[in-house]
Amino acid sequence: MKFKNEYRRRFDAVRPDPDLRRRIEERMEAEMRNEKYVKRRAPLRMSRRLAVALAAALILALAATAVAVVQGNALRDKFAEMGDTTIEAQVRDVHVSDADEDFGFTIDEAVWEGDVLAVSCALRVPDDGNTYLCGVYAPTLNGEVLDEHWGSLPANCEGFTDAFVAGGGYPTSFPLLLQLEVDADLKAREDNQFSMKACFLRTEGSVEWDKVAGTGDADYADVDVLRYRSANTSEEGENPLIWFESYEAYRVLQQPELTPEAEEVDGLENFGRPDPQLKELPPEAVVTAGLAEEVCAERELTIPLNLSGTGETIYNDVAEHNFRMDGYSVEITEFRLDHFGLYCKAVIRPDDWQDMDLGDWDDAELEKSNPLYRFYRLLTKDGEELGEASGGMMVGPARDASGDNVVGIEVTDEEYGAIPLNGGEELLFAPETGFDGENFSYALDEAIVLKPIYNPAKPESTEEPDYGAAEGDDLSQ
Amino acid sequence: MQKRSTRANDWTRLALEKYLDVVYRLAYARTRSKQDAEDIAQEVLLKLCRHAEEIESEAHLKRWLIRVTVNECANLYRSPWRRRTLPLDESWLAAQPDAPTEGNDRLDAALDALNPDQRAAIHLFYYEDMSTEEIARALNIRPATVRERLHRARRKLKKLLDEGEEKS
Repeated sequence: MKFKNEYRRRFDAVRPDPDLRRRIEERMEAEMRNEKYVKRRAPLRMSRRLAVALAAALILALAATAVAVVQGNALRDKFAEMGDTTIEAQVRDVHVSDADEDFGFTIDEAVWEGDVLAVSCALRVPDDGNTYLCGVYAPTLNGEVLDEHWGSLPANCEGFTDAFVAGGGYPTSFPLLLQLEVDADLKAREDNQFSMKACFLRTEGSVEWDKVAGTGDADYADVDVLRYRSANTSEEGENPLIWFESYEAYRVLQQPELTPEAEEVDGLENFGRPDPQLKELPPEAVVTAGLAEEVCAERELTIPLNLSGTGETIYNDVAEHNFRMDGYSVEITEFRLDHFGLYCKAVIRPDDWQDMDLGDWDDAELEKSNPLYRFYRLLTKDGEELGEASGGMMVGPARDASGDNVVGIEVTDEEYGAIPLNGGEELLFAPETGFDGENFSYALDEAIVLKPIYNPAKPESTEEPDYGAAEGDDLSQ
Repeated sequence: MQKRSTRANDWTRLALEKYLDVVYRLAYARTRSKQDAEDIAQEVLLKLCRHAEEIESEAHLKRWLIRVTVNECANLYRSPWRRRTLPLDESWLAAQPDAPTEGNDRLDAALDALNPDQRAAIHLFYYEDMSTEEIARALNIRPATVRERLHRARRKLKKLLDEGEEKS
């Protein structure tokens, strides 16, 4: 209640200017008389102007500090910080560069961990006052495009769907870290050739951002937007080379025509409809879509990546992929605990789950009908929160491979950064039951218990379960 | 000119008298700017004048006002005026509230760190006492989305408020 009371006191004090009511009333009366009026925007007040100036000054200051960390030992620094010398020793220096005096792209380090290849790289743009969008894309190993692993940069690396803002008041250089999924067979080869592209696009001086995510599902928007992030690595001391303080600004590439009526009623919800063609977005399309003025430079680096001599990697799996809890069964379909975080996906099926048509499912109904339908947090066995405050795990309806809703409950994945790698200790996914503004409370007795184990080999992937049929159902009939 | 019904006039009157504060506070919570909140409140109520005939009940009116307020806040970031003046890092500017009340610096700083959607969710939940289902219905988004916004906002608030307490 403390937070609520504090919040209420704060906003009780927020009141409109008494004159506002009168002004609105006059405008409303004019509107009701169907009189035309000229819509005017109030001029900038001094405080706003001052804020703009201060913002520019601050950003420039941040840019100056960010330049200093453009290249180096992102991976080693990260692992050293975690105090893990084993993995630190496995980091390979590669240090290849494709740069001229204007634009630069370097790959500095690489390390394998389980089936993930982590690569640190850096981008640089000229300090000429222009604002650039830049990013890396199309990472390949022996010609095969690699998928991005959870929890690092954007999910789709085949196209230039994610960009960092650089120059023009933002840092002119910044490091990146990629985590890429790699087939274990490829890893064993001695003649691996890794390649990756970088692209630099000039954009207008003041990058606009349309934050679509707020008015519809971010999932929708993800598919067909270019996602900007500021390369603000100013969080001193907090893993500045990896964990960006990023602002994800969404800009829709294909914006449906909105009638004034539709816009008024539905607002921005008409934005961001998925367009599969935009999943692979070549840099030129970004220009065509009007998001940037021109492609200024493209760089491609290819490096031999002979890592066959790399020492044993660490991979933590869970002891049981399928187990029963009181009243429901749990299937861990994906689990990985490594130096970059925890990735987990579980499907939970209550024993008394009633088959229902989830084509138009209602969250409120689901929540009411199933106690598991809550936020879950990762805790130690003693109930202490683990990981950064990066979010919990949302329990929602499961989907089958085709994306259709099926009967069941799925715990969707979230990344938890910097979890101590104490394989063997039990972890709890416990439902959150409350927040008093100071602390969260959890139902530990309802927690899903996970038992991580050391497991250097990637586990066989489990079959996608058929949740649509209860045991014994004969679907042929 | 089509004559407006008495009912429509009643809705606009009610909105001005009873819900202006609701609209204004929500707009302020989302934009963190009194100037923007005033502009938005004005736009929302003018829009209501054009749509008052469609309002069916007071509950419907409140939902409509909340939804249009949030949409208007989002539109603010899309306006040509705003685009010309804002750098990408809008959140930095948003972090410069208009004259925070003395004694609320810690809370204000924490709220500034949230994104506009999270602030709207927090405001409707804690100040307007709306349930996640009511918020979802008003904003025409899924209840799960509301809960997720609340969840993330609470996590961030807790971290920031804890840090603020430690510093003090």
